[in-house]
Parts: sequence; structure tokens; C-alpha cells
Amino acid sequence: MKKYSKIKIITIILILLLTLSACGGNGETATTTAPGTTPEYKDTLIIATTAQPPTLDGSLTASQVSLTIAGNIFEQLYTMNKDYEPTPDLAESYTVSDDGLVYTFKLREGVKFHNGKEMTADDVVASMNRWLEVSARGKTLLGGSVFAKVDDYTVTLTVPKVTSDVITIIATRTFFPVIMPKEVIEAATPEGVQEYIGTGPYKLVEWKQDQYIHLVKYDEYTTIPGESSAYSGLKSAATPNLFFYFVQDHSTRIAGMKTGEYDIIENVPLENYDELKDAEGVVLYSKPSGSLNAFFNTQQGVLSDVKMRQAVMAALSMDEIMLASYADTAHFTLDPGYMNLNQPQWAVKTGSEFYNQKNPDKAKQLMAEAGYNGETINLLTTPDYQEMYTATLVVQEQLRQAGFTVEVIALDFPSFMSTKGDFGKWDIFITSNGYNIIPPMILAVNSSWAGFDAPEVALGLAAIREAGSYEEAQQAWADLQQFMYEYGSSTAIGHYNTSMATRDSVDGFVYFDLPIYWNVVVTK
Amino acid sequence: METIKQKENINEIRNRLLNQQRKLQRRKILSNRSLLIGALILLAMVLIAVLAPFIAPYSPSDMNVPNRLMPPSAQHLLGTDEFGRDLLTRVMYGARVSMFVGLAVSILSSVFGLIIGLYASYFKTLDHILMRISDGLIAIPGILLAIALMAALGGSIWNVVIALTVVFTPSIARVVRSSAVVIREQAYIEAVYMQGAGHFRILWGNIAPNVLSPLLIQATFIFASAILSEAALSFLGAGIPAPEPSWGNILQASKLVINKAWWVAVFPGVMLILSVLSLNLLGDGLRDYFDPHISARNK
Amino acid sequence: MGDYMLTYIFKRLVSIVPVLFVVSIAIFMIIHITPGEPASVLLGLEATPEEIEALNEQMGLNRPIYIQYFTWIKNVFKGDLGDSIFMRMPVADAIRDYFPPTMSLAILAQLIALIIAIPTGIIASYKRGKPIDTALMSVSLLGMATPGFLLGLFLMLLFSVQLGWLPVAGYRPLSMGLGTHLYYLILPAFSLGVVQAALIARMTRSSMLDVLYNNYIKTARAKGIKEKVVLLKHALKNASLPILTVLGQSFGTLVTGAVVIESLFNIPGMGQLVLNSIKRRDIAVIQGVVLFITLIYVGVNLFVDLMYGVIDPRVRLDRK
Repeated sequence: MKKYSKIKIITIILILLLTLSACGGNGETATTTAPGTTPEYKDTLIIATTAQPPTLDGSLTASQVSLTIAGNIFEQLYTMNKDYEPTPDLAESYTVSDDGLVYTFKLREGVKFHNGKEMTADDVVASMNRWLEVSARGKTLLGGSVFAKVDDYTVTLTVPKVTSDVITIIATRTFFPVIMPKEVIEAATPEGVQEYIGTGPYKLVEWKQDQYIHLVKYDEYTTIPGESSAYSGLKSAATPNLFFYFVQDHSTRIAGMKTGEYDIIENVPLENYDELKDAEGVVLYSKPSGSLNAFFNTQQGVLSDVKMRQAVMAALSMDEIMLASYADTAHFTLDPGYMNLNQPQWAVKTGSEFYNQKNPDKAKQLMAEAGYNGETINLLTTPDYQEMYTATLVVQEQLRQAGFTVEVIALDFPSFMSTKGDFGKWDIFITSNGYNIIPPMILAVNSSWAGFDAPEVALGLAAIREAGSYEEAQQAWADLQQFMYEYGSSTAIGHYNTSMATRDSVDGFVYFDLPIYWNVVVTK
Repeated sequence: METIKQKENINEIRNRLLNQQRKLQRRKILSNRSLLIGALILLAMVLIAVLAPFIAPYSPSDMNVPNRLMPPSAQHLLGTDEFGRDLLTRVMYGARVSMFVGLAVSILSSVFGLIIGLYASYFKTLDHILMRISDGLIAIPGILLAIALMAALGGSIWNVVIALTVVFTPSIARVVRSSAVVIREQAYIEAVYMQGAGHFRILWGNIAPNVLSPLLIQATFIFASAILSEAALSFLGAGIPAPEPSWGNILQASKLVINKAWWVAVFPGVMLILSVLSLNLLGDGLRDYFDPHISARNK
Repeated sequence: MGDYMLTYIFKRLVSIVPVLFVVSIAIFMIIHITPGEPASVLLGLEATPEEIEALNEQMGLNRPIYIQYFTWIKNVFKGDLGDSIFMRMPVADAIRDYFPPTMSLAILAQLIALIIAIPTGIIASYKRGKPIDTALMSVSLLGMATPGFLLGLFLMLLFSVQLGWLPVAGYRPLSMGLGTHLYYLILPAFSLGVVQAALIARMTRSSMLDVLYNNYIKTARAKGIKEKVVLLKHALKNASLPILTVLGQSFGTLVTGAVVIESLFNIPGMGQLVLNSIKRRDIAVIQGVVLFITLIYVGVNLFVDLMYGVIDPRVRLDRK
């Protein structure tokens, strides 16, 4: 009797398995809308992201996944429109005092947090002051600044010296100074806030570790009426439920896009771009989103000699590095600049004589002048970031061909980060860096990033920030970029595109610096 | 009638005996065969590994990025990888890494395992301490222990050897200890001790030679396990770092391009299977050779 | 008998304690010498060293190691495994969330292994020396030489990439329906099960051989009992002890060692949890999970040993 039932169970399972493998492939069949009727929309939008965000607390992380998801939950005083102009969001307007040191913000009234409480000056002051304290780049750029309450709907920001970029910094998405309830801010620990309560069009319902984040429309959200432009303007929460699935595995994301399991996938791997281009019902989005840079150790070791750094730069062929890292010429642009190629003010080409030289002979000559004697050049990298790792391997081969002795040190991500801080252990590392809004924010000028601390940098940055006009600031940046190339602190390798894909049933999707989901609808 | 029947019986018995003998022989040939096939494949692998610099058509590091992911052709017999490097060359050099890691790990863990196992079998207190530690290490899944160690040590071929030696030494120590305990209890050891031999001489002169055959068998299997573990570690990105080619890290890279370039996954995979297979065969063969009694049961 | 059983179980449980101590100290030491900080993972790629250092200090990760260990072990005795830095939840909850996929995978893999292995082993032993035996045993040799992740990769290439029949990777919990659950698990379970199948098939064959030539089997045959009944009832039952041993071991490996398969197929199980936690330097999770896995491993072994006694009362449990 017992045995019999076991056999039965096994048979049932076998039959199940067989049926599954036979008819598993086809998911739901798409229903077409009858002509003449208004399309019906789905109530759930499913997005496949590449990874689980480490946290949704924007003060702590600059991770793209975090910022993308958190952007639906939280809002800033000011935010960026599609022309990278600061545009009011939770604030209504601001004024600057005559000495340029005090900014007064008028807050929007009637804005409610997801816990039902109204947002007032107390929340803004607590949030912004925590941001100034916790966010290291907030500290660097606006150090010594402080927010204070005037009345329930007015706050002031007092800065220690006059610069032209205060509102831009407040409005940037990269550091994401968001407004949370005062109580949440007060309960925050070093690891971040304990609850995610914002004012945005969506609120967090569930975070299933390593699986998904579920956001749901916040019914009492009051949007700014009118047109939507990048992060600013109308936010309609057009689809009530957003699911962000964490799908590290590329092939799964691709397969899920083809079958329609996901409506949108972030980060289409380059190897799969063509496959999706040919796939039916898939729409691709692609845009430059950052630069791949090589940083040189100016502090210690063989490369502390400027001649050696120039020798390295002479040997590199950026075409090849970018092709290996990004698979197809369609996915990258060769340009010596460090800034966003779409921002005319900052996209300057100074230093191009040092860029993409492909000149091993010149490299050999410079090596000889520097008295290079086969000392090992250590390339530090981490396999946890595929494109950085690939680029490092190509650089190694190019330098080897030019006559350098080169070693790759491959460590996992945390070890990579801690080793990077030890100037005795590396000579070159390569990282992909997302675009920043203004030059002072980029890592290539940050002395603690790779140890590049020439005094000219601080002067150059001050000149940019205190410049009186658009052109003056532009010139100051062009000069600084030129200096950086001459000094050989780092080099841009190229600018990469990031691609996303949506089903063709998805409408209203905008791929700005980060993807924007709040006005997206999906036809059934 | 009677005699004929007896004759028949005798014939039957003789036939049966002959049959059995033939079976035995066949079995012996069979077992020898596994030893033979195993040794042959392994020899081929070792030859590829040793001769790689001379017989490989290209250099393993030469990149030709525009030529990436080319399918097998006359120029590149096994195709090219994601940097346009020749896959055949890289698979050959991969054999070097696998053979080196396998050999180094099996030798090192045999040496440490032998020492630990012998002394543990001989001294009670030491036994308790060492065996508790090895219990602990064995209880942690090997691959996890290796991954954690690799995170601590950083990726390099020697670090893989160190990590895997830590993982495999306890199991060798156990094998050595259990064989040594049996020998130690035997009367002649007592006799040698009575004659005034020191512990050192008894351990290394009388006990050690007797545990060598189980040790050798175990070491062969460790060789195979080490190759597999290295491949798994490199496949997870925690083993041999690129650009040094290892089957595991080629397989890891193949996963990213699996829908475009099947050859990057298939060829190193086949090599991996072949070398593990050869070692398993060799190990089985050795076991038969040293212990025909067990072999009769297992074969 | 009952008392004796209980004493035995108690003894075995007590002997687990030093093992767990060794495991926890070993892991703690390894993690401690590992460079890199959880703070750097929390802060992301673009964080500067100062930011990382500051966060470290705030999280209390700069305290001396033995203090950290004693704090941890004290809490473990109170039944508290600590909290994950990243997941913002107690480690025990994390284990509860990540265990089901691993368990499902292990059960399915074991099932597949058994379905393949037991008939194979029986047929091979019955046809001993015949071509079919040689063929089956050669295939099993090949199966033993193929690591699960490689088989998984090949199967993925064939069934998911080329034929498109099965999902490339991913996991759906049982709550989304048994069909969906199995649909996603079948490839990884098969990849994992085949090596075990090869092992179990070989063990089944040799145990069957031991039994098949015994007198009572001959008697049974002489009595005219059907061959099928002889094989399945008499022989298999008596051969089950060694098979059970292999089974116990293989289940232990399946539950504890599916790390690479989970990573290949992106299954959020214990292996992924500990792998991710190593990458994030989330020490409380690493410790908790490794302890839990060790307990399972030891537990399965204990269970198998007890089963000996149930199947064959002649076996004395304290034979060691």
C-alpha cells in the first residue's frame, strides 16, 4: 500500500514534468485591443533591474539601482528638467540674498508624506541637514552650510562662500538630497534610515530580499500640474503597481523581455543588444551615460613619474579597449572629455593630444627617458564589474606589447575598494563612472578617489564654481581638463551607452539619466 | 548411469569453475583497463599541459578584438573568445593550470594529511584536538570554505592551491588515521616497540609505509576534486583571475556569451570532463590493484 | 532499547558542540583577515576612502576581533544570531527566507537522482557483465566526472538557448503554483541530480551484487518466486543499507553544496545568500548560515545512522 502510493506520486510528478517541458514555453497570449475602443491599461508594471539596491537611502549611496527605485518614493526641493536646469519640486521658489550667502526657499503647501503627515519646514531642515552631514560630496561641495526654519513653509540655507552652483547641487539626482519626515531622520542609524517614507508618487509596500521591491501608487500624492520634463513636472503614477525584480543574470532578463514576462528591463547587456533589436515587440533605448576612465597612481610607485604616466597614455588604443568592453561601436563614443557629452557647457575636448595615441614607439621613448627598468605595473580591478575587468585585461595586453611589465590584481569588490586606498599596492585602476552634473563632482578631480592632489585642481575648481558667466566657467573647466591630461592623473578611455528595453505595449517611458517610470502605462 | 551423472556433475563443476576463472580474468582485465585508459588520458592531458608553449598555435594573451567570438575555422580550430584570442591555445594553457593545481593540491594535502593522520593515530590527546578541528573543517561545505578563503587571500593560482589544500587535508588525514590505527593495533608494532624503537621510527618506519596505498588512492581522487574545485571557483569568479587561462574562467566568460558562442563553453567543458574522468578511472584502477577484494565487490 | 537510543542521540548531539565551535572560529578568523569593508559595499563604487572609514567607525566594525566574536557567541547562546547589515533583518529570518529554494532544489534533485539511479543500478546488477551493464556503468562514470555546473551550462545551452523550452535561469516560489515552481527548478535539479544519480547507481549495483549471490536469494528463486519480486523485494531490501548511506551523504551534499548551481541558475537559496554575504562582508549572515548548514549536515548524518538501526536491528549504533 505504502509503496503503491509512492509509485503513484512519482508517476504524477513525472507526468507533470513531461507536460511542463512540453508546453512550458508559451506564457500568456497577448490580447489585442479591439479597434475603436480606448486601450485598457494593466495595473502592474514589471521592471527587471540588474541588482538589488544596497539601500534606498539616497544620502548614503550613489548606486544607480538605488536612485532609480528611490526616485519614485522620494522627492527633492529642486530637481532637473530635460535641459539639466534646476526646476522646483517640493519647493515653490527660492531667492538669494544680496551677498549671495543666504538662500530662502518657499515650500509647497499641502504636500503629504506616505504616513499621512504634512511636510513642513521641520522635516526639510532635518532632512537637508542630515544630508549635508552624511553625504560626503554634499559635505565637500557645500561644507559649512546649514538649513534653518523661518516658518512652517519657509527655510533658509546659509552657505559659507559664494558659488554659482548651489541650486544645481541641491537639484542633482546623483546625491539625491531628499525630504523625509523629521521622525524618520531622527531614528536613522549609520546604516541609514529605518523606514522609507517619502512624498513621491509611489510608496514602498514590500521589499522581498534578493527578489523584488513592490511600490504602489500613493493616492494622496499631489502632483505639479503641467508638462513632465525629465525628473520635473507632472508625475501621474499612471500604473498603480511597480515591481522591481532583481535579475542579476543577464540571460534571464533577456529571455524575460522576449517572452513579455517583464515590461521593462534595465541594462541590456551589450552581447544581447542585437538579439533584442531583432526580437518582435521589443523597443530599445540607448544613450551615453558615463565614461570609462583609467586612474594613475600619482603618489607612489613607478607611475609617480609623470613621464611614465605619459608613456602609458601613449601606448593605449582606446578603440580596442572600448570595443572589447562594449562589444560594438554603436555602444560607445571616443572622446577625451570627462563630462556628459550632451551637456554643451562642459563637454570640452581639451587634452585630446594625449588621448587615444596608439603610439607604442613614443611610449618606449618616454619609458627610456624615465629610466624604466621593467618594474611591475600593477593593474587593480574587480571581476564584479564586467566592463572594468574587460578593459583592464585589454590595457594589460597593450602595455605588455609596448614593453611594460604588467600584473593584474583581481579582487572582489570590497577588497578592491580597500586596496584602492593603499597607494603602495596599485599603479592603475579603471572604473566606469556615471555622469555628473558639474565638474567639481566628478571623481577624477577628487583627491581621495585616486590620490590626485595637485594644488592646481583646487584652484581650477574654485575658478569654475566662482566664475561669473557660462563661458568663463566653461573656459576654466577646459583649462583644468587640459592640465589633468598634461599631468597624467587619469585619462578618459571612452563614453559608454547604456541600453534599456521595453515591450512595445509600454507607453510614456522616458530614459533620462535614470529611467523614469511614473508616467508609464502598459496596454493590456 | 551413476557414473555418467557424476561425470556430468564434474563437467558442470569444471565448466562453472572455468567460467568463474574467465570471469575473474575478464574482471581483472576490465579493472586494468580502467587503470590503463585513465592513465592514457591523463598522460595526454599532462603532455598538452607541458607542451602547450610549443604546440599551441598562438600566444594565449594575444588579442585581436575585431576578431572576437569567431566560430571554429581553419585559422582558429576551436574559434576565438570575447577578446579575439585563440580558444585552442587558451584551452591548452588551461590544462597547465588544471594539472598544476590538481598535482600541487594532491601532493600538499597528502603530505600534510599524512603527517597529521599519523601523529593523530599515535597520540591520544593530539588525536582529540586534530580530529575535532578536522570534523569542523569537513562539516563546512568545501566549496564555501574555499570561496571564503579565496576572498581572504585574493585571486591567484597559488592562493587557489592554498585554499584547496586547507579544504582537502582533513579528509586525507582521516583516511591515513583510520588505516594507521588498524596497523598500530597489530602485534608486530608492539614487538618493535618492545625492542626499543622510538615513536618516530615506528611512525615513519613501520606504520607510514603501510598507509601509502590508501593514501595514493585518496590522493588520486583529490587530484580530480581539486581540478573540479578550481574550475568551480574560477567559474564563480573566485579562482584563477584572467588573463591566465583556466578552464573554469573560460567557462565563466562563456556564460556571458552563451547565446552567441557555444564553442567557448563546450571545448573547455569537454577537457574538464575528460581529465576528471581519467583521474576517476585511475583511482578505481589503483584501488583494484591494491585491494582486489574490494574491487570484486565494487566492479 | 529506547533508553539506549536516547543516550546515543544525546551523545551525538553533545559531540556537535565542539564542531560548531571550530566552524564558527574558523569562519570568524577567515572573514577577519579578508580585506574590504561592508561599508564600501553599502556606499557603492563611487565612494571615497574617507566616507568608507567614517561609516565603518559608526557601525562598530573597528572593534578588536575577539570582542566582536565574544559578543556574537554570547548572543548565539541567547538564541540570537544577530542582524544582517544589508538586509535589515535578523539573520534567522534571512535563513528562513532563503532555505526553501535550496530545500526544494535538493528534494527535486534527489528525486531525479533516485528515479534514474535505482532502476539503473538494479538492471546493471541483474545484467552483470553484459553489454548493457558495461554501457550503464560507463555512462555513470561519465556522469560522475561531469560537474553539476558544467552540465547545467550545457543543458542551459541546449534547452534554454537553442530550443527555448525552459527558462534560462531564475526561481519561482511554490506559492506561484507547483507547475511554475517545477518549470524553473527542473534544469538546476537535473544538473545537480545527475552526479548523485551516478554515485547512487554504482552503489546500488554493487550492493545488489553482494546480495544477489546469497543463498536466500537462490532459495527464493528455487521456490519459484517471480524474478521481479526477488529483485525488488528480497534483494533490494537487503541491499538498502549501503544505498541509504550514499543517499544520506548525497542529500547532505545537495542541501549544503548547491552553491555553484544556485549561482548559475540565479536561485535565491542558502548558497547564494552566503556567497552574496561574503561579497558584502556581512559577517553575521555568513556565520549564521554556515552554522545552520553545518547543523543540517551533521543532522542528516545522525538521521542516516539512526535509520541503520531501524532497518537492520542488528546494527549497533555505538560501533564507533
